This record gives sequence, C-alpha cells and structure tokens, in this order.
Amino acid sequence: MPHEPILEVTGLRKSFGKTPVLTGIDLAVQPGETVALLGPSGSGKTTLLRCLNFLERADAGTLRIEEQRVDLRHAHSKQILALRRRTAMVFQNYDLFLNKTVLQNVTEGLIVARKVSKDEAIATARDVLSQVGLSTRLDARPHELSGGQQQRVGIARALAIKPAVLLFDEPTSALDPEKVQEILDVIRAVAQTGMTLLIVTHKMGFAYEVAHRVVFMEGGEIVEQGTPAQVFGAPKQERTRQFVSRFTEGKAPEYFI
Amino acid sequence: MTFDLSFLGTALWTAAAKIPATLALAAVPLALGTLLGLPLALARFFRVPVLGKVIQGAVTLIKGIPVVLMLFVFYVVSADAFDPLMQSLGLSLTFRDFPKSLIALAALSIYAAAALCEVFRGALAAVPPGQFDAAAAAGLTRAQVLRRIVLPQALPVSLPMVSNITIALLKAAAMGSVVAVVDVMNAAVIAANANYRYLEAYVAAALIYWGLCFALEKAFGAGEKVLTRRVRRAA
Repeated sequence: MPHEPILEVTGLRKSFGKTPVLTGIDLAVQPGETVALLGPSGSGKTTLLRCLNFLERADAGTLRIEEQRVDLRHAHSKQILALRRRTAMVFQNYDLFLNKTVLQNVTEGLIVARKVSKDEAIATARDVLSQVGLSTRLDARPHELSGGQQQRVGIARALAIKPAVLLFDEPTSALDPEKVQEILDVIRAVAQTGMTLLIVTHKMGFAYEVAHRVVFMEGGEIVEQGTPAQVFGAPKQERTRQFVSRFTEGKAPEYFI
Repeated sequence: MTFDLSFLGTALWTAAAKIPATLALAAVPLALGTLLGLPLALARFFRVPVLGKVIQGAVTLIKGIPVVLMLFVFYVVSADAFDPLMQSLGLSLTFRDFPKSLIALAALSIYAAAALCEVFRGALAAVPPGQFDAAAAAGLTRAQVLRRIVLPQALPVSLPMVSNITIALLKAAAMGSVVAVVDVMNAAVIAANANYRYLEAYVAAALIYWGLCFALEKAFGAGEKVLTRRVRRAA
C-alpha cells in the first residue's frame, strides 16, 4: 500500500510472570484498513490489543500511532494518556459506565478527556448513536439495555472520539447468537466508513468478509498474515491450515472456486 | 426495689442534653476517618509499593487494639507530654485546661480510619475491573477515572458498612467517660450518682441510643436508595 502505516508496533514482548504471552510482535496497520486478529484462545490476541492502549504494560517494543512514537516499556503517564486518546476500544463485555446514561457514556470521553464543549459532545453523541441505531434510548441506563444494545452503545462510545485506530476485543463473544449478526452488521458498516479497525474475533466468516487483512496468531507470535483469500484459501503454514479448516471445510465450494 | 419512672424522666432529660456531644463524637471521627480511610484504601487497592504494605500492617495493628485501651494510652501520653510541651512553648496552660474530648476524638478517628480503609477497599474491589479499563481506554486520567466512574459506583456499595461503623462509633463514644468526656451515657450515670438509681439511668441512656441508632439506620438506608438507584449492575 502506498500509505505510511497509521499504527506500527515492533518487537512487542509481554510475559505474565514467567509465562511468555507475546514473543516479539511486529505489526503495521494502514489507514482505513480493517485487520482481523485470529487465533486459538491463549494465543495472545487480546493481550496484544490491550498492550496497544496500555491496559497491559508490555515488557519491550515500540509503538507508533500517527506521529506519536513511544517505548512500550518505559512510556510515562503523559505519553500513555496522549496515546490512549488516539485509540478507542470496544470490549467483550461492553463495559459501559454503569453510573452513566447511554448519552453520558458516549459524551464522557469527549467532554472529560478531550475537552469538547458539552453541546458539541451531545451533538456528536446523538449522531453516532443514531448511526448504531440507538437514538431512542439516550437516557436509559446500561442495566436497562439488552446485551446487543449495550454493545451498540460501546461501539458508539468508541466512534464518537473519531480515533485513529478502533480496537475491538471479541465484540460479539458475550452475545447470544441472534444478536451476534446484528453487532457484526454494525461493525461492517463502520469498516465501510473508512475508519481503521483492528478486530480480535473468533468469527471467521466475518473476518473473511469484512477484513482487508487477516493476521493469524498462535503461541504469542504471528504465524501468518495476508488477505482473507490467502489465509483462508491457501494458508502457507500447516498450523494455519488446521485452524481455518474448521471454517473452510464444507464452505470451500462457495468461497474458493 | 421499685422502678422510679419520674427519675427515668429526669435521667432521660439530662442525658438527652448530651445528644449533641455523642453525635459529635461519632460524626467527627466518621468525617476524619473517611478523609483518611479513603486515600489509605486507594493506596492499598492499587498496591502502592511499600506504602500499601505499611498501611496493611497499621490497619491490622489498630484493629487488634480495644478502643478503650487506645483511649487510655492517648490519655496517659498526652497527660505526660502536655505540661512540658506548654512550658517549652512559654504558655501557662496545664493538662487541666486540655480538652479531654480531643483524646476521645483522636482515638475514635484512628479506629474509624482503620475500619473505613477496609470498607472502602472492599467497595473498590466490588467495581467490575472492566469499568477501570473502559474509563482508561476512553482517555480519562487516573483521577478522572476515580472521581467520575469508580467512586460513584464504589461509595453506594460501601454505605451499609459505613452505616454500621457510624453506629459502632456512636456507641464507642460512651467509652469517652474513661477520659472524663461527658456524652449521653456518662451524663445519665452522673445523674444517677446523686440517688443511686442507676437502673433508671441506664434505661434512659439505652432509650436514647436506640432512638439515635434507629434514626441513623433509616437515614443511611434512604441515602443508599438514592445512590444505588442510578448505579445498578448491568444484566
């Protein structure tokens, strides 16, 4: 691609105690790209995502988002704050602020963290909430919403701040099967707006359809990456082949003629 | 022995006059204890190196001492230290002029700080970890995370325990009599010293304590309702 990557991480290592979780990750994401992180449980996908906004502190590596470059191990709190404000995250368990209304959940990061005026923040919040189809529940509290609705608010909260990179941590894992498609449709629509997305997911069909690039991780490292057609259709590594076979078996005729 | 109802009335009246003293002996330690206990709880909750461990040790130590013993120690220490201190400052004050209620307030405040530290730590732990993550990911500073997201969820959780501690303080204030502080209990006993009708005096004190504790429980219950109405766990 012709662009300079919008996010670039090099040499990321992370251990929990003596257990290595990430053993040297290099990853670059282009502006407007949707990247899906796939891999078995325990492969380090979520930890990688959480290191990118310092919810976990990595042991080594550097990270650049837009023009800000930091050392992942030694970044100090001001750098971390500035870097976090370039990203937004959608959580597996939604994690809406339980003491705030739907509208306040979305405006919080704008008004408090980014000093946007209240009127402007509310206008933005209404805008993104209608984008995710929730414009009628602005004053509801999180406990009054269904899981699917909560995750829509979670996505709206992330969209509102117009992040350089939008991080999704298994956004549909806590939802019932019926609501999964609903949320995937919302994410697909977000991807089509040209926003840069990094998505940890187990939904291989979704990754196949929506992602520009699929990154397969196992044992704390990137095993293989490429376009969905490459990774699903003609995986180079035996491990990747095993992992995607559950998805491609029986589907191959439709997808890979 | 007959029960002297009219003296019960007298004792009630005398003891009730000291309700403000008893309330102050509960309220001031509650306020100071909160002011101290909350930062201590935060330091422990976030496992601040060294400080967290020191606080943990101090809290264990304080919890293991009877309040009445703490009162005696404070009394003895201040009795010994006050006169020399005033002399060195060139003031002609003696321990006789020293307000003994300060001793009771100090001892009760330390007890309250230790108890509240534990309560607030528990309440912080009751906030789902995702709330900390989501607030940090939204770009809030640590102080903003606490002030705007975490504490508004933690404090309602702590209220029933704070209510318990307040009631315990109210009753512990009766021990102030050992350092010559006059509260409801002590006032009732003093009234009875004249005619030896102690039972009536004790009943009078008990009635007042019951009334105070009942009112406190109702007040905390109402506060809890208001605060938790907004913060309910999502399904």
